[in-house]
Amino acid sequence: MYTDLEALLYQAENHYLTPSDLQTFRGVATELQQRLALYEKLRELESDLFEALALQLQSACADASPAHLTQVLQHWILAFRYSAMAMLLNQPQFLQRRLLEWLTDIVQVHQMGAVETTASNLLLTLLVNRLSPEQIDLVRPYLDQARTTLLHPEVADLGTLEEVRA
Amino acid sequence: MINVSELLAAPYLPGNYFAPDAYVQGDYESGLIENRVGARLLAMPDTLLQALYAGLAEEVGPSAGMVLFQCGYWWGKSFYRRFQAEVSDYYQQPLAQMEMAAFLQCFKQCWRTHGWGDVEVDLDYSAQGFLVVKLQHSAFAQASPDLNRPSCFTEAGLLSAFFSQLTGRDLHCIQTACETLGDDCNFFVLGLRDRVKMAEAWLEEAHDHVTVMERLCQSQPLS
Repeated sequence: MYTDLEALLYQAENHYLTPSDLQTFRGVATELQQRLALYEKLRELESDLFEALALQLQSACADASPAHLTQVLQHWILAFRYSAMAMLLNQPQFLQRRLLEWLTDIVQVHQMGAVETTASNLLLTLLVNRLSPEQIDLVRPYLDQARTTLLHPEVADLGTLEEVRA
Repeated sequence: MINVSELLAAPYLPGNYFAPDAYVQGDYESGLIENRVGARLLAMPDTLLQALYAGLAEEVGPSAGMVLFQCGYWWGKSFYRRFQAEVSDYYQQPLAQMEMAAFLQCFKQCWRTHGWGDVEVDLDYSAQGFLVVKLQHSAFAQASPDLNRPSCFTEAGLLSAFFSQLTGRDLHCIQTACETLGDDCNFFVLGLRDRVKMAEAWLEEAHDHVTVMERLCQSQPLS
């Protein structure tokens, strides 16, 4: 989970941790507390955050249909939840493997690049207004990872399995 | 008006079901590996695959390919059943109603997580009645002896059964490019048996995948 801790535990098979190792351990433990507190805060914020995002997205992308906006919101609820967990675990690979590897192509196929970008920007702005700068520093790398990976050039719509069968 | 509370109230929001760290669970003590719903998985070492190829070549000679295709076909039937059940259950919708992009992503992730290589389904020829599957880093190709012809028989059988069950049509599968022949990747073409069978003669004449596809698209079904 925490590579720093894992490395320490691996090295400390037959000896006590050195003072500098213990300092690293304390640092990681303190950071874990901060991450846990932030995770709880993100969970509590989720409902208000996405209600606000939905309203702002509807006015910013008035041309988009409610179905499309709902789909985009779903993508960013997913990205938000998996980013929160990846932040807690301090593990970018969690976000990559459990969500982004699977979701990226789906987002691209929906051809909603502009709405996706607007949603991600609004989400970030809403978060910045609700979290402290230290908290933003903790979660931002994961949200940026999601934004960078998901907002790729669009590809053609493939339809549904039933349509292809027909 | 978007109902956000309904979106957030879902018991869970599905992600990548086949993420390797979530899908494959192992127990060092018992030496067992299982998937996330508790079904047993079988690890096939290179040595076993090589022994299968060598043993079949010894026992049945030139029919080894047909035997492996049939093995793949039966395997594909069970594989489709499990895939369909697990994916429908996890994503809370029947496979047929899944968005195509989501289905293709699941298929790709599933293939990769099982260690069978990187698979991509190309729907560009669907209007002509063909489905092309591109496969890279195939474990079966790597273990195969050099047969001087496409040799991913197991995968061809597996794909044939899988897509036959998925589409409800009897689809045959022919391999048109193979990593064992020095190609960059393996290509498989799926279609109705009468139409796709025509490719066998062109492959015998050593035509490449692109040429075979051109000819298949221009061809008429055998009467």
